[in-house]
Amino acid sequence: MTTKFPISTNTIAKTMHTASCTIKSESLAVGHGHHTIIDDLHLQLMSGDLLTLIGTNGSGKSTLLKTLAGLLPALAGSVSVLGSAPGSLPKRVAYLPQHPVSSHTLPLRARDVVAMGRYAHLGLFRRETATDRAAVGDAITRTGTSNFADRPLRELSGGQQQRTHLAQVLSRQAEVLLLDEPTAGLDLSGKYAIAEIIAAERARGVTVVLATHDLQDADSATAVMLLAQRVVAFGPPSVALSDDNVRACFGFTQPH
Amino acid sequence: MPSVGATRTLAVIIASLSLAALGLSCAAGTAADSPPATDLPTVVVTYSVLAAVVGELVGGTADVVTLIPDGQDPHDFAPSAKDVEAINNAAFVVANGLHFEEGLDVLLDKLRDADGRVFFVGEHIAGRDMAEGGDHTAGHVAGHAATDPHLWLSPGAMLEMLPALTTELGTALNTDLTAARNAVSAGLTALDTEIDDIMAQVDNCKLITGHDELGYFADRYNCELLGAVIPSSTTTSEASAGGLAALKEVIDEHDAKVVFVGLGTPQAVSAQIVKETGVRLVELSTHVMGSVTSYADFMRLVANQLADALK
Amino acid sequence: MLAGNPFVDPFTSNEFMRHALVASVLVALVCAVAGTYVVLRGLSFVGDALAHGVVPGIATALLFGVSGVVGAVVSAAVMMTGVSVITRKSRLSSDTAIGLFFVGMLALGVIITSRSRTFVGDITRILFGELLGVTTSDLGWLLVALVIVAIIATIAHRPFVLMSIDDGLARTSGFSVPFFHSLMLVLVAITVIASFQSVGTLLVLGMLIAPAAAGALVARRVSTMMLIAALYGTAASYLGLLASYHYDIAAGGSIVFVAVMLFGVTAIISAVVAHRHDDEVPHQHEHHR
Repeated sequence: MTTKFPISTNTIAKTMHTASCTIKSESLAVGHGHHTIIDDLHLQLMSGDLLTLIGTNGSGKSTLLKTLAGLLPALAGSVSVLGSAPGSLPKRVAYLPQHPVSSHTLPLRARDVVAMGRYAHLGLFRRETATDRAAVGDAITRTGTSNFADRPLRELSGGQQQRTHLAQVLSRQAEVLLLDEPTAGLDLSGKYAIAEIIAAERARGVTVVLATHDLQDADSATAVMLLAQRVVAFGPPSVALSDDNVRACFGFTQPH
Repeated sequence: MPSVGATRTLAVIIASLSLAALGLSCAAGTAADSPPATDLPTVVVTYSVLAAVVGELVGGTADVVTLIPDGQDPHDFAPSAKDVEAINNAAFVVANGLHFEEGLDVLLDKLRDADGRVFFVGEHIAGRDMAEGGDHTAGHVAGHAATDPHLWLSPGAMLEMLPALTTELGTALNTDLTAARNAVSAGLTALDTEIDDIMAQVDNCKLITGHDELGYFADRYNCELLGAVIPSSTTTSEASAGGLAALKEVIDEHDAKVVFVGLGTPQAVSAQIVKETGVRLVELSTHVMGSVTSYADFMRLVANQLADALK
Repeated sequence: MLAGNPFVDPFTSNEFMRHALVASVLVALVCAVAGTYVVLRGLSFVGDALAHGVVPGIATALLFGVSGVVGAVVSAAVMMTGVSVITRKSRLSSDTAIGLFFVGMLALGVIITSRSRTFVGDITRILFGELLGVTTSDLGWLLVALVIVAIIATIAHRPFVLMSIDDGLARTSGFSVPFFHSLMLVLVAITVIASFQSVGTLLVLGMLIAPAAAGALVARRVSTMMLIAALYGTAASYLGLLASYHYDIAAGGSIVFVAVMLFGVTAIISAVVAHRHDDEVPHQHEHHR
């Protein structure tokens, strides 16, 4: 992975190996309506990279993820995911939205929710094949949801529901994963499991963009972006996660 | 593990349905039995006043059943399943027509199209258009002006439809009702004269009513219709602000002392009119028989109520 | 008549009762399909709004001697378009927009009705249904409605289910949310218009929601939920008609009342069962494998 990361967003990155570049943006501005949250963003991610977005709620990390997923339009600049416009390749890009812990009365088993991740491949009419079932089974095993796969969503705890939604994303076997707070509601062992899964995906060549407000999640990232309604820092973890930057982002520093 | 969930689901469903069915069966078990059948054919008449006339005509040759209970407003009556059954099983049905029994329109039209055993009184009299008199903006029934349905308040109208009714009813019941018809006819003619005398006591007959119900009566006995609380041929319409203001002006202009109210007249609105104009409210039983049993007594009562209030 | 069976006699001896039963069962089936998605997606308010928003269209149609169904379709289309325009062009939430249209159109319906003095009966029939006057051609149309609704459900099942979890999820799975949302509204509109025949538009929401909500409580799959909704709707139709016959009470109201009662009983029993289950089974912990 010989990618160069700008320390500040004002430096233009040198374009290298655009053929294997999975997410690319130039002067990208994201936000809502007329309100820009992040400005002039230059991104270049390769397969296997992990970009961790860190910030509090409302800092802009969800907005950036949604823009990459194609749910929000870019306010300025350009962005492409796997060489196409965001949202145009549902089979190859999977997005995990933030799920508040809910007491849905949805009559869906965890297994069914995971299987819904294959709809991008199946479309309206195609029936499930062995490939689809294998992908679903694999996702269930890896996320540790086998124990409660046949129980309805409403009977599951917040952490169990979170795992189920993550399994759904994995079952799509996409090349790009956009994850908004995947470890929310999970205990330490759960977070460890997620970290393992992400590492495994990266080893397969999947590009991962992950939003979190937990600094711990950033250690193995290729790059970290600290957000606080603007880009506070952007670079390799060792550089971006300096005390000054963290203080600017959260208002306090982590104890060492 | 799946079996636990499935069993629970099944249990809940079965329990719920059983509970519901149980509740209903207890109740259905105690439901009233149908009245013992007689050997006489049944003639169903939609409302009580008309049933009184039909009853006189038919005498002992058939059971006359009134569909809409006396005292219930026929303008907004909706039939129940048993009512529909009664109509379907009747030997003959006599109805007012002219959209009086709005809730029965569709049903009766269908029955008449099927085998013709329905008689609409309104089709056999010279109907009174609602556009006459007052300031009606008549509702258009697919292009035609609405006709006043309150025909039973004129013995003349009853006389008019009698021959046709006798013929059709006679055919349906397989009896000759000519003798009965002559008796009823004579009675109605005498009644007509009697009411003439009663109304003669009133110098200037000017009427304000609950809704537009006295059209036929007014025409026959020389009364003037000034207006109504609900200026409509049906009690199901609402009083409008403009209509009430116009009514107050009319009361003022003609120095009216009385407003006749009855079934279906909104009480609050009437009370308000009294407060603002000082008129007296007089109860008029145009749609209800009450303790009265014959058509003649019914008409006499109405006439006396009017005359007593106005003279 | 010998030993009458009060559960069967009203139907065996009266054709209109048989027709009423078939009509309300067909409507219950239509409601089971549409209601499942409405409950999953949380569109009850919209469903209610559509049911009342069709009134001015019907009133106008009848005034000109045109079929009430045509008026209802026009009304529904106007309302759906208006709501989506307001939601997109202004800062108002769709909730507010729907509420405005709902009330506005209902008021318009009242005004139109007040001018046409002889049409109150027709409006009453549409609001409360005319179960006791169902013809065979009516039944034919209901069957057509059921087929159309089934086709829509077959086509749109996957996006509908995705949208009941999260609109974004549907979008990133490659489905157009605006299109399928409109399709769902069309589904509800068809259901509302079909209901003229049975419980009427005032109460159709009950048939749409109650059986499906009961299904949502106990089912673990959407298909089971729809099946339960169909079962409950059918049971309510039969029991409601039976009660209406024996007690001389309104047919439409009886059916909907039974449907809601069935839901209530199911909710209570399922809560009790769940409570006892929790007490017996030891608490499951999250395991990391």
